Amino acid sequence: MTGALSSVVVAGLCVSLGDQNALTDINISVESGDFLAIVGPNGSGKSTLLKTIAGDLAPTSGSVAIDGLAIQDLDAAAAASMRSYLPQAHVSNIPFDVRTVVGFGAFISDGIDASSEQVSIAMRRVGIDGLSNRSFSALSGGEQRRVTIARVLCQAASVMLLDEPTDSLDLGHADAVMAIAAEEAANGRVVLSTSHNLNVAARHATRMLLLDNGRIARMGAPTEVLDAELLSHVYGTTVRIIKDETTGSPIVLSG
Amino acid sequence: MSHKPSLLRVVVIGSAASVAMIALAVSVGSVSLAPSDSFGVLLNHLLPIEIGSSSQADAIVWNIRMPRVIVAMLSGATLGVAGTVLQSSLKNPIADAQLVGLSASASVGALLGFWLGYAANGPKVAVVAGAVAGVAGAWTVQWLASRVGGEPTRFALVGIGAGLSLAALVAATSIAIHDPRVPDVAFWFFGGLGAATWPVAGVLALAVGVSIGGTVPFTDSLDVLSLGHQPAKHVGVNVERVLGAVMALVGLGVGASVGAAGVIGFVGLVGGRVALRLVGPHQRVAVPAAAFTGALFVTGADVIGRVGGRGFEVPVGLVTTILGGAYLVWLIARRQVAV
Repeated sequence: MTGALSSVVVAGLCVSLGDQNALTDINISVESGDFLAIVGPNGSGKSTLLKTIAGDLAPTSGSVAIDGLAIQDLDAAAAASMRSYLPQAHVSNIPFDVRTVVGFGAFISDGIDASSEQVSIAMRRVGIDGLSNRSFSALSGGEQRRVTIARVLCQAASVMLLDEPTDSLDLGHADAVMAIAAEEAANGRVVLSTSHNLNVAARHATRMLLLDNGRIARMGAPTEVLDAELLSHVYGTTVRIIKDETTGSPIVLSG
Repeated sequence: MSHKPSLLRVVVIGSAASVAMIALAVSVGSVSLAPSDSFGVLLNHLLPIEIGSSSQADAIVWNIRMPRVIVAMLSGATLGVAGTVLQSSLKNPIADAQLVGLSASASVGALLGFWLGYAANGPKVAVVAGAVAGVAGAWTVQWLASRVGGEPTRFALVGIGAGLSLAALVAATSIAIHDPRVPDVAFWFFGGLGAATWPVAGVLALAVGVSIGGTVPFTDSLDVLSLGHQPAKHVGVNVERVLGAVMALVGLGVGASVGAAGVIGFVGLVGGRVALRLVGPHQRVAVPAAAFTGALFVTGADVIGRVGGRGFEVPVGLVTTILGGAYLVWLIARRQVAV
């Protein structure tokens, strides 16, 4: 990516959905090189936080700034040049072939005629180069997921927002995708990703954010956030933490 | 598609087929003319040369049949484009101006145009009023779609219900106001090309030109919209602006066609789906292809209606509905579309 540093700064953010407080007093600051994994139980506000950072939801109070600019005030093209977004997985009918769908990621720079080189690289990275001419609609859920991830990789935005990227992916592909997210951060992007999978997140993220009922329960290095007592309390189930002998990452066991 | 069919090829083949269709369409009718005679009349008018032809043939071909065929071609073209644009922007494989209720909204304007338009200008006023009501109707459809969500079946059912109800209201009103300037019931359900004149064709050509020409700059954005509205926004498409513009353009063309030729059903469905099969999903080529398939479908249906009526005229929309309805059933039975 470019040499310039990028940042996402969330300050005093509160978001209400209907009469529910979905997020309360969220303060986050992430920069180029950071891969922040957002974790927490169902309904803790992970996706809401990501959508608000993407500019899809308006803050009730507080602010979200990408590179110092309020994302909500930007038009679609300007916002797309700053952040890419992977939506939650759902099977969809798109009448184009895989290569074309991946190329749509580069719409603001290349229209619908993305350079074949750029598209090929993105497809190779997620291991879908063999699907190039297949119809998107005919793919399995996991294949569609990887095509969508390749599309996000094609978008030249300094901030990458991923909502449950590992959903509908098998063990190997889930790990590979999180490794790609970590590479993107190492290359200078800011990566924020929600995840249900604490172990894969801990292995690849530089930092983790644990949400509990719309509030930050803890933010820090994976070893700081993956605390047995804290997780047991937040998830409402007994949690044990062991250490992976090979990688040194913490591993969460429940029950 | 890995290689996109070229725009040039679509235009060349489409134009050739259109010329052939026009030659056929001006030759058939209650007075049968040899295609060479009717072609002679056309050449007399279109080229600066004199070819001998009878004044009777000239009157029939140039003053009666030609405006009718032009109105049929233009209406078909704009309805076909409306089909492919609605199918892609609403993510609804069976969307069509009539099935989403757009034709019925345009009918309200067209009815007022016929009724309130000054005597001889009524038909022209109806085209303009239909176009205005079409734009309003299209924005209503867009607003409804954003509320009902991306469920094709549910949306189509709302469109069919609201559209049929409104169409019946317009038809009932046309009976109640009992005015010879206002077309009868058949026009509001099955169209009618019998009253087509050159001035009507001229106003319609202007509206259809703006509608189709104006859609061209948005075709690439329409492709990306197939990702869904939210993902399209995330990659940089200004979804509200694109949808607002293309719906207005679609409404303009469809509305004008309703004013000129009444409600001709299933043209968007057939034109849009056939274009998709022929040239693939890129709107850059699907839009011109659907203009040709729609134009050929309506004009061909009118030929069938005039020949098959055995001395009487079967309204063009009855023929398109017979064929289009059967095509819809075939599409669903063969699982060509997911509904």
